[in-house]
Parts: sequence; C-alpha cells; structure tokens
Amino acid sequence: MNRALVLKMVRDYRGLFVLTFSATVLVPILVILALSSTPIELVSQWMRLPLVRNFFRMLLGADLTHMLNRTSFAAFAFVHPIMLSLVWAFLIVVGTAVPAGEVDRGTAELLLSLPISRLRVYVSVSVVVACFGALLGIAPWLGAYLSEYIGEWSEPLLLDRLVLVTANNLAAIAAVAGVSLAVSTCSSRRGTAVAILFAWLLVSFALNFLGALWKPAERLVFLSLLDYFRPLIIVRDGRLNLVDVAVLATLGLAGWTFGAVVFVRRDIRTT
Amino acid sequence: MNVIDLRSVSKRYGRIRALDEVTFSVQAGQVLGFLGPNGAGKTTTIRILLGFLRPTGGVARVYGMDAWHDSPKIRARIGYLPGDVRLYPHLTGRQTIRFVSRARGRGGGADAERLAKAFELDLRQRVRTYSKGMRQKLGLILAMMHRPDLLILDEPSSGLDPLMQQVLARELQDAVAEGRTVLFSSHRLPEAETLCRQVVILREGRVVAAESIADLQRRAGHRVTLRFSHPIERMEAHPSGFRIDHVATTEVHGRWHGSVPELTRWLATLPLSDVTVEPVDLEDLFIDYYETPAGADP
Repeated sequence: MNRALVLKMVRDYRGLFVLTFSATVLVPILVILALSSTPIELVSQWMRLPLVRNFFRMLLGADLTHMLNRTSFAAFAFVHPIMLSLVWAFLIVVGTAVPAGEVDRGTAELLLSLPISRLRVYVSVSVVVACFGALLGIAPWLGAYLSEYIGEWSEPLLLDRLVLVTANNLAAIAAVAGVSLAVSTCSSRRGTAVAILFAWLLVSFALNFLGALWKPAERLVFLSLLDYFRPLIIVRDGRLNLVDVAVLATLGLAGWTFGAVVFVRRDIRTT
Repeated sequence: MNVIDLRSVSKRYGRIRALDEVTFSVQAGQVLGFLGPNGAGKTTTIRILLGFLRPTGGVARVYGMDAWHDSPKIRARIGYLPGDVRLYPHLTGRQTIRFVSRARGRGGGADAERLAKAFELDLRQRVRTYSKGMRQKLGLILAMMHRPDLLILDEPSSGLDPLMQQVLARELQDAVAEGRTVLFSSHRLPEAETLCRQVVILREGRVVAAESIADLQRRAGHRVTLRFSHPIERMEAHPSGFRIDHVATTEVHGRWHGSVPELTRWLATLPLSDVTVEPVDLEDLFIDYYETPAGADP
C-alpha cells in the first residue's frame, strides 16, 4: 500500500463520500419514519396491489404483506432504489478511478512513473474503495439506529437482526466493488468502464424485477446480484443466509483478483 | 556500464509493428538525443524502458535490470517527463509536488523550490489554471526534483519559450556534470544540437542512425552552390562525390560528399562566376533520414 496515494484518493473523493454517506444515513431514517407513521391498515391496503406487492417482493426477497413492522421497513430501506443507486454509483466512480480514470485522463504516466509497483497501486486503490464501501455498508444501520431516537414508537427496532442485514449488505458492496475494479483494470476509458458497470447493475436489477413479474424469467434470477441480498428473509428468520454471502463475497474476491492480475500484466498507453 | 541497454526490442500491436528490432545503449553520464518524426516509436521505446509496455521481443535493460520485471526498482532511479504532461487539475503545483514526493518516498522538496524558481513557476496556482508551458515546467520539476540517476525526458522543450529552454539546457548540463545520465526524445534537431553529442535516430520503429552529432555532420558533407555566367540546362560530367539537388538557370545546387581538396580541384575546372560552400544544416540531414526509405542510406 502507498500511503500518499491512499491519502490523495481519500482527499479526492471525500466530498462525494460525505454527501453519499449522509444520504445513505438519511434515506433509512426517512423511510422508517414515513412507513412507521403511516397507519398499518393503509400499508396493508397498498400491499394488496399486485404491482406494489411484487415491487417489494423483488427488492426484499420475500412478501412484506405478513411482516408489516418497523424492522421490516428498516430492511426495505437497505434496498430502496435510491440507496442502491447512491451506493452503487459511488462504488463505480471510485472503483474506476484507477487505472481506467488515470489512463483516460493521462495521469497514469505520472502515477506509474513513480517507484510503486502496480500491485501496490492496486492495493492502495482497493483499500480506499474497501474503507469507503464499508462505511457506506453500515450507514443504513446507523440511519435505522438514529431513527429510534426520533419520535415515540411502541415497537422497537430489532437492531441485532439489522446487523445481519448489514453483513449481507457489505457482501453485496464487496461484489460491486470487486467487479468495478476488475472492469476498471481492463479499460483505458473510464466512460466505457462506468457504462459497462451500470449496464450490469441495471440488468441485474431488471432481471430481479422481471423474475418477480414473469414466471419464465424466474430461472434467470440467480444471475441477478439482488437475488443474493434478501433483507426481509434475514429479518424474518433472524439468521444470515451464508450461501448468499458466500456468493457475493466470492464474486467480489474473484473480481478483485482478476483485476489485480490484469493490471499487473497489461500495457499502459495513455495516447 | 550501460545505463540503458536495448537489444532487438520489438513491440507489436496486432499487425502493427511499433518497434522493430531496436538496439542501442546509453552509457553513464551521457546525454543521448532520441530523435525521430512523430510516430517513429520514440515514446513506445521510452514506455518500454519505464515498464508501461511489455516488449513483444528482445531485451530492454536499465541499470542491468529487466525493464518489465524490475520496473519499480528502476523507476526509483529515474526521473520521467511524459511527452504530453497530464497532471491532476484540482491540485496546486505545490500539492502535486508534495504528492509525488511522498509517493516516491524520497525527499525532493528542496530541489523543487529551487527548480520552480529557476523555471519561474508559481506553485500556488491550481494546475487547471496552468498554460501548456507551465504544465511542462511542473512536469520538468517533478522529473528532476529528486535528483535521479537517469532522466528520461520526452520532448522536454515542448511549450517552453527560448529563455526557459536555456534554463533547461543549463539544468541538464549540471545534471550531466554530476555524472547523471539523460535520454531525451525530440523531433527537432536544433534541440538535440544544443543538448547532446550522441543521437539515435528512429524511423518507422527502426534505428536508422546511432552516432555522434560530429559524425553526422561529417557524413552530411557540404552544401555547394555553383553560379555560372550563362544559363545551363543540366550539369554534364561531375565527380561521383557531388549530388545535384536542383538546377536553376545559372545556378546548380548540390551536396558534396568527399574531401575538400578534391572539391577545390574540381571547382577549378569549372567556368564559375561564383561559388558557395557551407556545411550541411543538420536539419536537412535529419529530414533526409525521414524522407529516405527506411534502411537506405540518406
């Protein structure tokens, strides 16, 4: 790891991180407060609508109809589309900074002319992505925790269960980060890398949605990233699905390793 | 000991051959001009030396180490100026220096300040506000501030005004006086004439000449202009050492490759009204190298 490079990256992205982190703390608070303040009968009515029920089933991995409580609402906050968009976008932006961003901008010649091995550069970038990712991973839990202090609630949040959801969230973040680094190392254009990653996540999202609406597509849902992050099931069962975590962690590790191998071996040409 | 040693280095991009069996070496304390037109393969060669590119054939060594496998160790002894200096636009000049210095793990701040003063560069400004010349100056400071054993400079005077080119020449002379080695690329021969004695000329990925500027000048011969009192259509018999460039009414322009006594003997036999004999401009010879088919003698 190169300390100067780590500090520079932290400095470069700290503003964006503060905004993203604040949003990922705030969104769960708002979601929990909004749903908790809504009469349960009204939420039940919504859940009877097939589109709404399927939407929640797609995001949460289970039917919310029979689990209308504050902890379930908090679980929903983890996979709220705004949350996913914010976290994924941030990971893609930072994950493609080096080498794709550096090569694209032409600064790779300056960075790689320093006496730092490419592996050290890669590890440095990975450390920054991992630290930011970890903080963003626990942000929704922090939001849920803070929401407990806003208002009077008869039913407390099951924060220990949300810790398990957080663990699954971290695995999902590791997967996105690992694949982002892998795609970044293969590309000399940051725009291309970002487009590929957004397309992958969009397809992943769409596949999950399609699987919930259309029977034949169910067989393909296993290809979706969200199929391995089902917070409502974790809240319902009170235990982590280790297979889901293992799949996501393996994907992240495989992406990271692939990226390391490619980056160490590839030619770097800025023009 | 050779600081840089390239043996039959080739680089291909699919069917495109960027470098073809490039062989040359640079000795310690030498300033070598690496010349050639745009697209000749100069930057590709430099990128191979820095470990950015892996050669598809041959061996590239710097300080006896393999340029690809031992790249970080080699780069610890190198100061590099890219041909197109790209820097982090949001950092100031000073922040850029601080980052590079810390990342390198070796202090370079003191020399950076001195160099910034010599190049008259304001380090307080953000790089995004710098002109091309200012970016070039900062690039030079970054390359030289840690007093590296080997300086590899890709088009170092690009964007510098004549005054700053003199500052650069002085800095490089000082570096060489301290026993350091300089390899710089250029497509301009006057720059090479100012900075170095040895040149390697590259064309279409091949080394077409590797010699001293003095030898180049010797081989280049003399430019001869013969003026006759009457119009002439063509020059009949002339010695084999005289190559006619063109005939214009009463004048014959050509180049003499031979001894001076032989030239004067021949001139004495001609009904001339005037004659001009001058050394060939190296720029012309350089252009000859570019225009002659690769492999042929210019």
